[in-house]
Amino acid sequence: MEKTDAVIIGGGPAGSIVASTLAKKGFEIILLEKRPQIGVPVRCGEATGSREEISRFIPIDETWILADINAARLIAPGGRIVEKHLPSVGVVLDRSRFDQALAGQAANSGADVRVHTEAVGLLRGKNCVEGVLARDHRTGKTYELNAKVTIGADGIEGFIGRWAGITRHLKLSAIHSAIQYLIEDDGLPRDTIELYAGRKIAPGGYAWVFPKQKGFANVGLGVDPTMIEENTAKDFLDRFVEQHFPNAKIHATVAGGTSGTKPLKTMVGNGVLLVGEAAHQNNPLSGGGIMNALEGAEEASKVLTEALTTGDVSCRFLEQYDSRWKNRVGHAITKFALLRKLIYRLEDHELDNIAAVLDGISRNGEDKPIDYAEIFKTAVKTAPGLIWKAKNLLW
Amino acid sequence: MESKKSSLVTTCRLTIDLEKCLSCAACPPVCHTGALNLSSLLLEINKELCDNCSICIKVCPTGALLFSETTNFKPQG
Ligand SMILES: Cc1cc2nc3c(=O)[nH]c(=O)nc-3n(C[C@H](O)[C@H](O)[C@H](O)COP(=O)(O)OP(=O)(O)OC[C@H]3O[C@@H](n4cnc5c(N)ncnc54)[C@H](O)[C@@H]3O)c2cc1C
Ligand code: SF4
Ligand code: SF4
Repeated sequence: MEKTDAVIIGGGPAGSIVASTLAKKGFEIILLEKRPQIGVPVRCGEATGSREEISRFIPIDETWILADINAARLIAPGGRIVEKHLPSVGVVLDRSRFDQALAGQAANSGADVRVHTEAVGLLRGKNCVEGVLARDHRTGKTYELNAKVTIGADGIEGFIGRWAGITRHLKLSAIHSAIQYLIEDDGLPRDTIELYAGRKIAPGGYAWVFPKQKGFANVGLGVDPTMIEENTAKDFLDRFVEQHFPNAKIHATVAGGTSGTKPLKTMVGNGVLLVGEAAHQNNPLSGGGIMNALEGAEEASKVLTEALTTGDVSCRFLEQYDSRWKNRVGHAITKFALLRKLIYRLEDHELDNIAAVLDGISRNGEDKPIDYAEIFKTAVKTAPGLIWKAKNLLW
Repeated sequence: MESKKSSLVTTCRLTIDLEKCLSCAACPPVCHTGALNLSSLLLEINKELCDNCSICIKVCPTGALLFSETTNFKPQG
């Protein structure tokens, strides 16, 4: 039986950062990715944090940066536009290339990266996960991979967590159903992202326009599947594109699900740890998960380094990661999960009221990033009926 | 939103419209029986596990999942 220090399942940002960090420390790492090629197909809007934030994890390479974001525009259902100047707040990535660069960094650090290879089950010892059963899709062969610690970085699918008994299936209300077109059109914004709110546009979610190279943009939306009756996310996107970009040429379609739920009580078990979207580390309000996956991986790597050095991979030891994550990002995620329930249930006129107040704030020249807690306070103050909704959800 | 086994139907009637399926991975995580899996890039249904709860149909962004016939079926979502 093949043996290694850590087996990591999933070649997304979370898995690759854990792999490169542990490999650099000299541990023996195997990274499994079931798809034939890392990062393909893309399942992402590709907008993320700033160059500065990203460069903490990998040196910036212009080949995977398609646009810089310097402003955000919120468009309320009634059409009011709230614009916020946010210099260098983020970038739009070529996500395939970005993921490939991260996996490349892991391989260069000494990790054994295996594509076409799916984890199809767990190896279980006495009260402890001891690796995975791996299937090589090229040869059709299944083999056992014994590891001191098993890391589920397997994204929204998250079967490692389910098999280990850490997570369960996602409730329908805990996932955004999302779809996006790569469009080509004249007059697309260059360095500004646009977010459209409204029940008719994207029930339980929002639509986005993220600029890419000149003349191109990712136009997509996510919906709460419990709020769309017989329609699909695609029906809403087709309507949106027809209304806002009637002359656009559609080049590609991307779809997917993102988790929109509060943090897990625990992300670990004996000999097993979850990271990234597999651990529900996404922002449940926006669906964004790239930066969170990178930060989750950073925290996970610290605890895993110690665990592998001391040989203690028990649940009790790995639990430090839970509290580290909660302190760093998890508490904010809890708030965002509540905000998701609240904001996405607002009627269009209530959203319009909030937009009016926000417009006032931004016109007063306060040059701060968008603060959702502030939106929430404003919402409670301005939208009639909202206090009731908040009360039912929060208390 | 949890679902229970339907007493009305016993065989899985879920089908995938392969023209529409983008292998996007939105459906496997909501399936409470673990009947859906993206094996590499192809979505597979384990017909023995599926209990026709219809939850996956609701999450699919492209409308690629459907029941082959609708008689006897009561959605439980
Ligand atoms: C339509 C859409 C738009 C989005 N837009 C944005 C955005 O604009 N900005 C943003 O920050 N986030 C966005 N997200 C979310 C973001 O893409 C994810 O949160 C992010 O990719 C999570 O990274 P990860 O490393 O945890 O998982 P992933 O990147 O999902 O990687 C998991 C990997 O594990 C592999 N895998 C799964 N199971 C197995 C197995 N059993 N064996 C082997 N390999 C396996 C998968 O093939 C996959 O490659 C979007 C998501 C969707 C669906
Ligand atoms: S119908 Fe229900 S049980 Fe069957 S595959 Fe879909 S979610 Fe799973
Ligand atoms: S949710 Fe729809 S498009 Fe995505 S994998 Fe499932 S069937 Fe295919």
